Amino acid sequence: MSLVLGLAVAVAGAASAREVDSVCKTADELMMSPVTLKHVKMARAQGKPVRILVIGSGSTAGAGVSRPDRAYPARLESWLRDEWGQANAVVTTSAKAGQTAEQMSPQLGSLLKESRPTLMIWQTGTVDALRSVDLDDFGTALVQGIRLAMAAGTDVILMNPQFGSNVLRLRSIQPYLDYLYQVARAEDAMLFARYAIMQEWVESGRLNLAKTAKAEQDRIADQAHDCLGQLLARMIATHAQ
Amino acid sequence: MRDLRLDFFRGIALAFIFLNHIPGNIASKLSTRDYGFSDATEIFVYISGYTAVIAYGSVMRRSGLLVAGARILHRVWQLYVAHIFLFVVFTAQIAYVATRFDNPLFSEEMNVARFMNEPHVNLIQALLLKFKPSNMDVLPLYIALLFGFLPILFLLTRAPRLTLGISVVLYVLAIRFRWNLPGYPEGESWVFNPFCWQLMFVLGAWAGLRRDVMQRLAPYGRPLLILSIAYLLFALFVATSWRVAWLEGMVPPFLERWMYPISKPNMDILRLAHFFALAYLAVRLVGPESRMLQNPVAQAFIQSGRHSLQVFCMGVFLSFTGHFILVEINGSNSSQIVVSLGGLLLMWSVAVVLDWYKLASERRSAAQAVGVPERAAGVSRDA
Repeated sequence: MSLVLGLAVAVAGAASAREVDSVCKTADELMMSPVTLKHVKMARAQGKPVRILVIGSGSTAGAGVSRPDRAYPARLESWLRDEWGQANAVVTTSAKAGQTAEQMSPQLGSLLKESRPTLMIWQTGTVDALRSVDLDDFGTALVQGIRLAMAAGTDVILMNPQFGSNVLRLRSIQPYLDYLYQVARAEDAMLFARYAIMQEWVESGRLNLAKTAKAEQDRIADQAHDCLGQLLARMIATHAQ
Repeated sequence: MRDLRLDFFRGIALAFIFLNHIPGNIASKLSTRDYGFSDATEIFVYISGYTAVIAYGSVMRRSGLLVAGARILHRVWQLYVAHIFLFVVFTAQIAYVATRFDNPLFSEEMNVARFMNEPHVNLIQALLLKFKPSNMDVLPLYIALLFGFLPILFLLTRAPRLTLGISVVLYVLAIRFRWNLPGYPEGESWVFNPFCWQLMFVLGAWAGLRRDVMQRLAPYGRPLLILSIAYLLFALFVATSWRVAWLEGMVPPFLERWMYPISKPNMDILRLAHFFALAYLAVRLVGPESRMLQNPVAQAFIQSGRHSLQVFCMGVFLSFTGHFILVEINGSNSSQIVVSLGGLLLMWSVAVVLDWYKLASERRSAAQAVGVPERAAGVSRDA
C-alpha cells in the first residue's frame, strides 16, 4: 500500500502532500515557524536522501506504545517515506529514559559524526523540569548542542515535553518551555510545540488520558505517537520547500 | 507618613503569586506575567526591601544594632517555619499525586518523580534550604535576603551609594562567574539566585531609606513617562509574540539573539527594567493620597499586604487545594474562576481575622502607652 502511495506521490511531482488525519489535526499556528530547514531543502532539491537523527528521553524511546515501531520516530520515518519515497528518508533514534539536556549533550558530537544527519530532532526538557535542573545550565546545554549540529551541517528541531502527566503539573515547567522556545528563536532552530499540541488534544477530549483497559490505553498511546509523527512529517515537509 | 501603596501593591503581588501557582489557571492572565518580562516576584522582593528598611531601620535608630539584628533574626525564624510548613503541604500533595493514575505515555515522568520522592531525604534538604517545594516559591530567597540584611541596613544608612554600588557589582559578577547557592538534587542551584536578586532587594531598601525618589525624579517626569510606556509596550509586543504565532516573525533576529533566553534565576536586566518601568507608571498613576486606594477592593489588597507572610502561606496552601479541586472535581474555565476568586477571598479573610485579633488585643492593653507610636506608624512591624 505504502509503495503504491509512494509511487503516486513521486509521479504527482513535488510539494502537494496529503492532509494530516483529522484526529491529529492541530491549530495552524502550532505548525508555523519562521525557520526554513536549509539542509533538508537542499537534500530534497538534489534528490538526496534525508537522514534524520532523533535524540531524546523516555517518550522518544517509546514510553507507552505497544511496539517499538509505533513510537513517533518510526512513524515519522513511515510518513516521510510515504511522501518522499522509500529511499529518501532514514530516521535513526538515540533515546534513553531519564536523561537531561546536559546528559545528552556530550553524546551529540559522536552521534553527529557517526550518522551525519541532514536534520536533528532533539526532544528534551522533561527530566530537566522534573529535577528542577538549573535553568541557565539547561539553556547553555541547548545552545551548545544546537551550534554543534549546525556547524556539522545539520538542521535542528527542538521538541518540548509531553502534556498530560499529573506529576509534571506539580513542577514548574513553564520556565523550561520558555527556554526551549527562546533558545530556538535565538539560535534559528525550529521548535516542535508538542506540549501545546497535546494540551489542545487533551482539552478538546481527543486524547483521553483517563484510566481504561490496557488494550485501549495501547491504542490511545499508539495513536498519539502516530499523530505526532504525522505532524512532524508535515512540518518538516512544509519548511523544506 | 504611611504609604498605603506599599501594602496595596504587595497585596496585589500576593494575589498574582496565588493565581500563577495554580497550573493551567485562566485567571493567571490577570497577572502581569503574560504581558511583559517581570512578574510578581520582582514586586514582592522590591517592596520587601523597602518595608524592611522602614521596619528595622527604626528599630536600629531607637534601640541600636544588636536589637535590630535580633528582630531580624526573629523574623527570619518565622519565615523559616513557614517554609517548612509549605514543604509539608507539598510533600502531601506529591504523595497523593503519586497514587493517581498516569497514562503509560508518561512512564518516564512517573519514574523520575518516584525516584525523587524520598520524603526523608527531601526533608533534610528542605531544612537546609536546598530543596524547594515549588519553583515559584520566593520564601527561601526572602529568608536568605533578610538573613543578610543587618550589614546591608548598616551600610545603607552610612554610605548608601557605596552599598548600591557593591550590590550592582555583586549582581554583575554573579552573572559573569555563575555564582549561586547549592540546591538539591546535587548539581542544581537556587531557582532565585540570591546573589542576583539581592540587587532588587537593595534597590527597594535604598528607595525606602530616601523616601524622596519620586520627588527627585519629578523634573524628568515627561521623558521618564514616555520611556517607561515605550519599554512596556515593547515588552508587551515581545511577550505576546510568544503566544501569537504571526507576531513571532516580526521580532527581528538580532534582537532575539541578544535577548533570549531571558533569565529568571539571575534576574535578567530586561526583567529589572520592566519592573521599574511598571513601578514608575504605577506610582505616577496612584499617588500616596489617591482616591483609588479608598475603594473596598483596594482596601482588601492593602489589608492583605499588611500581613504578607500569613497571606502568602495561605495563598500557597490554597493553590494546592485549588489545583486539587480543578483536577479531581471540575477543571472547566468557570471552575478555575470560582477557585481563583474563592482563594483570593480566603486569603483576604486571613488578613481580616489577623487585624481583628490585633485590634482586640490592643484594646485590652490600651493602658500601655509605649506601644502606641509604633502602631500609629501604620506599617506592619515586621517586613
